[in-house]
Amino acid sequence: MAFDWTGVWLATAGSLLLGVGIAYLLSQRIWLRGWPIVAALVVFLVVPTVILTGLRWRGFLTPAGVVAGLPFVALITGSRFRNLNQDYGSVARSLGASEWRIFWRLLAPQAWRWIAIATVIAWVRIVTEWAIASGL
Amino acid sequence: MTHARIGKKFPPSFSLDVEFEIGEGVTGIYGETGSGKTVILQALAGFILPDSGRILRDDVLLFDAEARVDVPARRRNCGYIPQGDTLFPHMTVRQNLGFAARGARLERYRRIAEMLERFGLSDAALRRPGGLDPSQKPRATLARALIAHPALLLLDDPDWPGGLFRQLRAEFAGPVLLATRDLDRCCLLADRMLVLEGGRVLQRGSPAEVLDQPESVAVARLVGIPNVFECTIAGLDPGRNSSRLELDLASGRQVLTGPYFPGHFRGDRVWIAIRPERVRAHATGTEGIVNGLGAQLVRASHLARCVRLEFAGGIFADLSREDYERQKDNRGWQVEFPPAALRVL
Repeated sequence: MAFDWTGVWLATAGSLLLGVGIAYLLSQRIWLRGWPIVAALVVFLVVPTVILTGLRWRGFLTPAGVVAGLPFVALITGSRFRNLNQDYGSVARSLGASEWRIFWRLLAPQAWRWIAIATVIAWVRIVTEWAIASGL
Repeated sequence: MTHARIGKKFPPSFSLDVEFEIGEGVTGIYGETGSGKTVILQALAGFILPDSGRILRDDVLLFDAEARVDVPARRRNCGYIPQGDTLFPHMTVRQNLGFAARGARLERYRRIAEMLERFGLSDAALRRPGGLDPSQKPRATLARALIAHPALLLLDDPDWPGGLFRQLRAEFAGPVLLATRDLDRCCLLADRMLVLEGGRVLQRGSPAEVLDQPESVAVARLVGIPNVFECTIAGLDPGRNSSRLELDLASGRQVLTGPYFPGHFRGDRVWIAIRPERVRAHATGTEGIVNGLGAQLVRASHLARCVRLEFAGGIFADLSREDYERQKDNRGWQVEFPPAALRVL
């Protein structure tokens, strides 16, 4: 069976977008807060979701890949967001910046290295698990 | 004119409950660390939600707990300058200013160039904050805050050089709220000041009023008057503008002559304060001293502008350096409280 690279890329992109989103919401404490979400992320960090999904539902490898890559992006990016000086956000708001502008002009440029590294790690994991799942 | 009433509880022990007005010019908030200065600024800027109160700036209602009005921070147009370095580190100085500038592209460009010029940052415009020298950072921070035309400027304990404050007054005509732990700076810059402790306003007024007429023992101590004594008014003579005060010191009961204190009666227990620079010190046996008390010198500390003598019983006297040099070999000391310098709190 040919290796499904499209699925891997889709899963990586999915975990990037969702992971950064979750990291942002966690750091801003808008509606995601507290340890249950972090705990769930850590659980999915350990569970080989793609391999397990491959055992029964071969059609759902891409969503499973998203779940596999998500914890890396969310946890690494989230820790970077939280470590950024909170005053930057306050100052930007007092200067009239919208949350959207703060994300794109302040948070993302200061966190892009972390986002990139996390995405690469996520990609490596998805490829590895996907290869194992495809071979089963 | 901004009128603010702010109540906020921080369990378990701290609560803020203040009401004040911010007029034109500089309003100073003076208080120790933990007195609630930053919370006030953040509530005005809209970063924290007070439990109760109301903030009205000119005709705009920014916050009202009862009516559930809470204008978001970015629509409040408050220039907020927190403590520390808050220039965005990944942007150049020009980009930092550009972040705050509003209006059409050409107008923004003109305004950025103008602010860079005025604050002497033209050479540093393309440098990031990491490459600025320490004197340029506060200038860039202030330029960025002013470029947005704030309706109210909030400064949280700025450790700026004095020249920058003068420039601020020259460039910005609007109201400024300055929170500081530095009493000298507060008195130098503020037109009116609030003395804050434990989340309450203890006194308000012009710096001269607060320094001269502290309303309570706490204010007296906060504004640097260490000589506060409890005493009993033993006699009042309005005709000769004098009073007799009985003072209980560790060394025993002393009787002082003071000015007439309107509104007080014989037998009242009152607190009197005297600024340490008004206390004089003499050698034992000096003649012609009113209100002279024998005192034992505990310590002499050399301060920047004077020598502070600490006597047993918590009496402090600030002497000029020459005065101290002349007297430092005194065998025994007596301190003099000039009657006109005594204040009742």
